[in-house]
Order: sequence, then C-alpha cells, then structure tokens
Amino acid sequence: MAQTTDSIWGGAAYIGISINGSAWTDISGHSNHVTPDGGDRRTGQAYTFDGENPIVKVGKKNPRQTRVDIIYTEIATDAFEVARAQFDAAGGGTMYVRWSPKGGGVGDAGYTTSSGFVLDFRFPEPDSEEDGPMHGYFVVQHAGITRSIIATAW
Amino acid sequence: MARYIVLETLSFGSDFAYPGEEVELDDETALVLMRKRAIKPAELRQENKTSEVKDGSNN
Repeated sequence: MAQTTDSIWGGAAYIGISINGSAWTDISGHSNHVTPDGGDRRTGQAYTFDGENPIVKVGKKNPRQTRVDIIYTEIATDAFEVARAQFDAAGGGTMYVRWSPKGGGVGDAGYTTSSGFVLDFRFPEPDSEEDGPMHGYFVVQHAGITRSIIATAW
Repeated sequence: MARYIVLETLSFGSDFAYPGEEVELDDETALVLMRKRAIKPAELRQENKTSEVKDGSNN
C-alpha cells in the first residue's frame, strides 16, 4: 500500500459540548486535547481439560470515558465552568461531547458521544513554576460514540 | 434541492440521518457528501435507452 496523502493534522480540530444534546457550545478555543477511552469489548473464557488455550467468547462493549482537556477560565459560560457545574449538579449533570478532527466542516467526519455524565473534574492546579495558562480537564462517562459525516457545519 | 439516500450516518447539527433514510440536500452539500460516498441520489434519472431493432435483413 502506497504512503497515504490523506493524513490529517490535529491542530485545527473542532470540539463541542452540550448539556442536552441539542444546543452545542463550540469549545475549540478552550480545549487542546480529547482522549476517548474505554469501550473495549467484554470477553469471557473457559479452560477445559483438553488443550492449552482457553475457549474465548466476545460480548458487548464496556462504557466509554472521554476526557477533554481545557484551559482554566472563570467565565460562567466557558467550558471550565460549564463542566464544573455539571459535575457538581446533584445526581450528576448530563454532558455530551463531540469532536471533528478536520474541523467540523461539511464532509468532515464527526464523533458524538451518547448522553453521559461528568465522571471526573479537575479543579484548578496553581503552580508557581509554570508560566503557561492553567489547565483543567473533565471526563465524561457515556455508552457509545456515533461516527457521522457532517452535513451541516458544526 | 434534491432527495438522496443516506449511505453513511450524517450529522445535521444535533440530529442524525441514518443509512437507508432519505434526506433533502442542496446541490453544494450533496456534491461534497457524494464525493465522500455518504449519499446517493434517491431517484436515478431515467436513461433513454435506444434498442437496436433488427429488421431481419442482412444489409
């Protein structure tokens, strides 16, 4: 297979969050990393008296955890405060995340989480040795991710 | 605007259209999505097929 000419640079991605799945906030200017994790398939195994290897069966998928790294700000409508409010909400506030590696234009691929909740939230971590902007992150636990081709620009 | 069959899940803002569904799209969007093989026209144009009529002669 010849070397691809279709690779994608990740520095201009689109990242969005929503607390209801319908109204989305573009946080591309507040986020610098998305880490989808989990979702591996469950398996089961059994060893019999015969043979060296187990009988292995594959099952359904585990829940996913999507981590979003963000810049620490103190504006109520910014990513940091929206995520914190959902984390602190009684019973766990709803959160959706979506991202598009190419930027969210028409024809680009997009990835949207199912409805989830903020599992983990990193509060500000001041460091006198650090000169860059302060970071934070939140992790959304959800069931799955839908891949789509974007027909209306995000 | 024309109607298309969805081949790959499409995102319309916060809504999705799933494979097999029919959607209406403007020409510009449709062109981009067809290049991605995400849609196909709902109705292919009827081609005028001209069939040769054999007249039975050997001329």
